[in-house]
Amino acid sequence: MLLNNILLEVRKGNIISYNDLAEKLSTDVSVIDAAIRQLCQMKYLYTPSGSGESCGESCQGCSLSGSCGFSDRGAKILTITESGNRYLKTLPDTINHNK
Amino acid sequence: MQAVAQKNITIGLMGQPNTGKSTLFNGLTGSKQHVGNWAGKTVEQKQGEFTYHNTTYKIVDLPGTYSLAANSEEELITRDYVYSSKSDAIVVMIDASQLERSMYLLSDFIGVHVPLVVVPTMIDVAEKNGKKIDFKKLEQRLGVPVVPIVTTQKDGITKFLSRLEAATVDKKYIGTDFITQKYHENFGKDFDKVIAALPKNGIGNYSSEWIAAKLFEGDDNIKTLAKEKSEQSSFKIVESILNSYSDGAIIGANCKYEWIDNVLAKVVQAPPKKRQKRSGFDRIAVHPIWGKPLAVILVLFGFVVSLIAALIAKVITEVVTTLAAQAGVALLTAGTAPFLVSLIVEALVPGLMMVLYMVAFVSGVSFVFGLMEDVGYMARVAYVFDNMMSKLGLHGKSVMPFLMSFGCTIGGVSGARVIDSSRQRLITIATSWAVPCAGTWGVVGLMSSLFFGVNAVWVIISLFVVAILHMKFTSWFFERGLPQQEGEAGLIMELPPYHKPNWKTIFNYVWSRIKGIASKSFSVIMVVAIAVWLLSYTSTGNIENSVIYAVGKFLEPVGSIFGLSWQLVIAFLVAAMGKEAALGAIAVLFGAGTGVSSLAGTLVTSSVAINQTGLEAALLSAVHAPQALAFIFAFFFNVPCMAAVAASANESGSYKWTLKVAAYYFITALVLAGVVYRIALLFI
Repeated sequence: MLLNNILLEVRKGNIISYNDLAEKLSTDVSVIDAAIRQLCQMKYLYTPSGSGESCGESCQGCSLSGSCGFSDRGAKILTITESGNRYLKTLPDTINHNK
Repeated sequence: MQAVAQKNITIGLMGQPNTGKSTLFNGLTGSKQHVGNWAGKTVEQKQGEFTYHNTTYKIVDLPGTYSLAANSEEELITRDYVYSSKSDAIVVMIDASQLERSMYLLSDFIGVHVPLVVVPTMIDVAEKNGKKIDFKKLEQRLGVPVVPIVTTQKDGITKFLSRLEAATVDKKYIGTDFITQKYHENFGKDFDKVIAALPKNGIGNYSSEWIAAKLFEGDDNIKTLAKEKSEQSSFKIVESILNSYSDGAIIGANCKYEWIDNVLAKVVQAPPKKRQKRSGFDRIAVHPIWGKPLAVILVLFGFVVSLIAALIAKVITEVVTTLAAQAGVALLTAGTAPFLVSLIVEALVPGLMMVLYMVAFVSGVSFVFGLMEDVGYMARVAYVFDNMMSKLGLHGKSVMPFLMSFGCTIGGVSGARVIDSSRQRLITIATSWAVPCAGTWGVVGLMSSLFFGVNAVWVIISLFVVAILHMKFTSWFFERGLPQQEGEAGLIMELPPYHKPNWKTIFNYVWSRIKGIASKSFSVIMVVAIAVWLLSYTSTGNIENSVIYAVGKFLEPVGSIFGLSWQLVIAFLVAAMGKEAALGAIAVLFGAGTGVSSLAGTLVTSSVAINQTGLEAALLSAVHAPQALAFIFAFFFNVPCMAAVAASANESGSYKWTLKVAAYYFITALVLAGVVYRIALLFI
């Protein structure tokens, strides 16, 4: 239940990198990256505009968005969407580390 | 390879991007390839041919894809190709260095009736990373040929061709048992009911199990296809079942990840990962305890640096207003109408100087924030404050505008630009108005010490307590009207590495900020300055002859509900223009300030000559302690200044929203004053 476990970890917070999360869930960081993109596509996670490149609106509306170098200077920020929170309520609170 | 071909075989070549697909395609087909577009699409289609053991192999290079979902045009093309039964086999290339991730594409082939050959590449990279992969075991688990190759080595290609030839005869598919069991565990009998409603032999190359899984995942294209090929009455049952599975996509994906874990168990051996260590500074910067004071110190230091531009503007302002005052005297001597001189010297020049000051301050703040963002430190501030700020419904970065607001609300409002979410940016702007700026303390300090002596400290403590509650309430109040574009919880997922500052980027950023704010602030500030001048100008300098005096007297009965006399009502109104102006306005209103013929002139603080002893005596005789306390609260929580209003309109992009915030602060300030006044009457 990798995607469930990622959502539960995101809700708990204190995750500083994809590597930490991969280590915590005993998987490869490339899988975490792919799974987070998938959760964004499914609209369970959301990346606010301009934070990292993964699944946000990417600085829409800013006249400097083409030339500004800030987009890769911010943290990748993920927030759980309403759908994500609703889904989390259907899950038990515990993480299955064996996935 | 043989020259005479007797039969034709069609092969689809697919895989995720950067797996060496093109290298294999070119290696197999050489010059026998042609390029076109997929029918009706803008996506490039490459086809080629080669001959092996008297068989002509037509090979179609499919667009790179991570799955058989239909999230992009490329994925849709690949899926349609798989569905259409055109190929005798599909070669799926997977990245051995990211095997776990690559396996997701294979999981989408479970239940697809097309013979597969799995080709792991990047084996050298996997080995370099210390990964050992048991490809024989992987083949056993998958049930289809697995042929690891290095695309540039000829013997690998020969082995691949041999296995490919066999695959077109053996026609092996990936086993479905494990994943079907998982689908049953998660979707229960509904999974069987959906399968029963679909054509028994599936549709095209898709089995009914595969179609059912896609239907639970909410795949609209497959739903249309299934509806078209199924009996209408039975498909209605399917639709009613699917309506109760809004989370089918995540459940289905979880099943696939479980399948991947099951297949790869003991197939991949990887060395234990080394924990990434952070540098000494970064360890403190992200430390849950020490990270906060470090951020506060650095932000306050940044605030001091950002004041350099504002101080230069202040000096220019002093020089210009002094020159304007001298020019005013010269104009009066030359016979110019006094009202015109007053308009220029007390409204237009101070208004222009306020715009200059604001632009200078914003440029300083933008430079400091831009630098922090560019070097990668801003993300750390957001991280360490995220938990604390989330209690106010805000993001960690909001702490920076708040800290700036202690200096000047314009800085706080402009600094809100660093917040990525527009929703949280607006809430931060609205709440930052409740943070007392430096201009607040002149009046608060004077009145609290004058009326309450040593107990002034309790007045200030209670102001801060109420300010925190005010911010919490303001956050809640304005959050309601904003669209819910993102969730409640925030998580800083990946902190960027530190960078050397890119000065061009930073100066571009500062320039864009100045351009944006200069024009908007000019119109707002000038309109307010002229309006206040019109209301308060008198040829004699006696405020009692002005329109604003009449307004103040008219509003006095209302003001008395909140504990405010007519002078305090006017001082409250003028304070919305600029808190720095309030002290001069109070002095003029209580007959202890001279040198201006309108309250607009109090914007230039040095222009009002205040008789301090006279002011204190006048206040003590005309104002009671509960009234003073009421005014302190009304003043403290009032609209910060017209420049902050202009900055908020610029940042929010909405005058309507900004006026709503201004009205909210105006009303809540009066309500708080009224409450404090009534409570004070009970004790004082």
